[in-house]
Amino acid sequence: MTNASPPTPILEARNLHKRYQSRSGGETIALRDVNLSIYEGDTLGIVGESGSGKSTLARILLALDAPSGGEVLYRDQVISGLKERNLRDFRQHVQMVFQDPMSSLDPRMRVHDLIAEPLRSLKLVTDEHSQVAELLESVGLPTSAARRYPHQFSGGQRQRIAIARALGTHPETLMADEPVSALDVSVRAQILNLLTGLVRDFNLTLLFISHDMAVVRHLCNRIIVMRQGEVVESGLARDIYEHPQHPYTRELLAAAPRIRPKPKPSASTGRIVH
Amino acid sequence: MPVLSVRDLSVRAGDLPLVHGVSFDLSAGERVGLIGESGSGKSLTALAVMGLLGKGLTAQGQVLFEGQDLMSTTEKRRCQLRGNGLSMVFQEPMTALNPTMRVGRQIGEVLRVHRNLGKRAAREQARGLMERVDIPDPVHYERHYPHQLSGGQRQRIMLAMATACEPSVILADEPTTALDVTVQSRMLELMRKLVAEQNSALLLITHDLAVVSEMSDRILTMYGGHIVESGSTKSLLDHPRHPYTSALVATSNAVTVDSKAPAGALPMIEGSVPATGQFPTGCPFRDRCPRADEKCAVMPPLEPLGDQVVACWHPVPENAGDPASRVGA
Repeated sequence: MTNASPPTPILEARNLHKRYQSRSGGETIALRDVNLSIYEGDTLGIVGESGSGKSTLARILLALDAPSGGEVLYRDQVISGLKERNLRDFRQHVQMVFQDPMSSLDPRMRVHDLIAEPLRSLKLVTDEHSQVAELLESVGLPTSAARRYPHQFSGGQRQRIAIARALGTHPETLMADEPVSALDVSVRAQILNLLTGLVRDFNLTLLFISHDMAVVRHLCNRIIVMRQGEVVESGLARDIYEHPQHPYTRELLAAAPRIRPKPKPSASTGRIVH
Repeated sequence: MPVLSVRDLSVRAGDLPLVHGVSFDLSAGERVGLIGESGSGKSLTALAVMGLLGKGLTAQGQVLFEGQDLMSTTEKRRCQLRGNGLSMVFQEPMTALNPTMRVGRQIGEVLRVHRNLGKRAAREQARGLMERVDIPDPVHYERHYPHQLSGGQRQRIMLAMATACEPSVILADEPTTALDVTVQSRMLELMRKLVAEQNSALLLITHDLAVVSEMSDRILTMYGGHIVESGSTKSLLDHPRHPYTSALVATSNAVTVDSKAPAGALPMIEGSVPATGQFPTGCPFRDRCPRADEKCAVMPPLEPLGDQVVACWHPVPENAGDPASRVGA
């Protein structure tokens, strides 16, 4: 898929299957034979609609959930089925940002403790106060934010806090599951700009899970399209957006609402970028 | 003559003003988009028009429906009109539909109440309505409860209820926001078709400029409880004059599936929409606006400007070239 593949992917999924047993004895197949490789510096978008299995895949890649079959490798080491105490190195290097910071951030903890918690549990504390201050600064929040609670912030600011928390362990890979879907349009641009900047400044490998084809187009250089637990198409973003091969990918792109009348050339995207 | 004429409509919670003297008209067959971010007062405006504001909220002003002021009429009369002359489609059908009633009966109930149909006739018509919103095999699905249906099917049921009495006015509040993109596209197509068939006026509330551009003839922008700009969809999207509309258009144009390459910085608006009651005095946008100065401490009047109507002391020039410079990103 990539032109010159480095020898070892950071994260690799081999023949992942996930089945859920329903109470009636029936079986739901959430993932069916999913294979993927993520290389250093990739910005990989996993796109699909509800029920496509993209969030199940994310949880299994993060070792938050076990696959029913197949395995996940982190730098050639199998991590599926490992006990939490053997995942410390993995946890430090692969971090996650979720869609709704209101439910992923403990409402009873001050921002300082929310950001310091992963540093403490992974024994990475050197100078807690300056570490937290530095992390807040890197996501564009004032140092004074440390004393406050999540509910005292807007949705966009809360997502910044969640990102600061994820960055604390100096991860090499950041996985984000719909991190801008709940945000207003103007705030969405702020968080997307923040993510783009962080990926560049910290050399992050990014795994971006979203139903929003437009946002993925903006952020990712490689794409995996999922439908009903299967990967239906994968490749370079440019190829997939300009020449989609699978009918479902074509349907997704055709269904995406577009601003009409289309912007004139003088107002095209290319000119907005600077 | 407009079928719905809203004049100087305000909503307040106790002493706290939330919607400030909003005025607009809807004509038969006209589709109008109401855009703005959360907290701008879009939903409150629609709920006030419907007479469905929650406890503690009061509305003032006029809501003229076919010439009759709903604000000074009885609740009994409003009940007769709701779901009949005016109806509303909500974002989340799971909370708007009755979870304990089979969907066929819920649709039929509208007809029994407003058309005095008997059980059997209501059931027959409900089946026809389900077919009209593309639910196959109504005889099978009419016996389902809302939770047994998919999000898209539930939203179709709500649309069937809202259009059952061929209302003159339909208010739709983020009707497709919770839906998958392929489902959204079919739902929008269906709404377009039904509104055209019934020659209804549609007020579509959404934060999604792409959706509104595909669905409406005219756009109203709200911010901080004020309508700050209005105009035809084409002129407003081509030459937004209010800095807020301009910023929304620029940022929406920058993130699309038709972009050529993963790009750098997006144009954005500084800060975020303030919490209720925290908007600055004067122009509500002035603390986020790159064009603001002292003059903006006084709320500008809504005045004609070129092809639009704009409330701004320092509107964006009509031929501002690069949208990024308009935003001041």
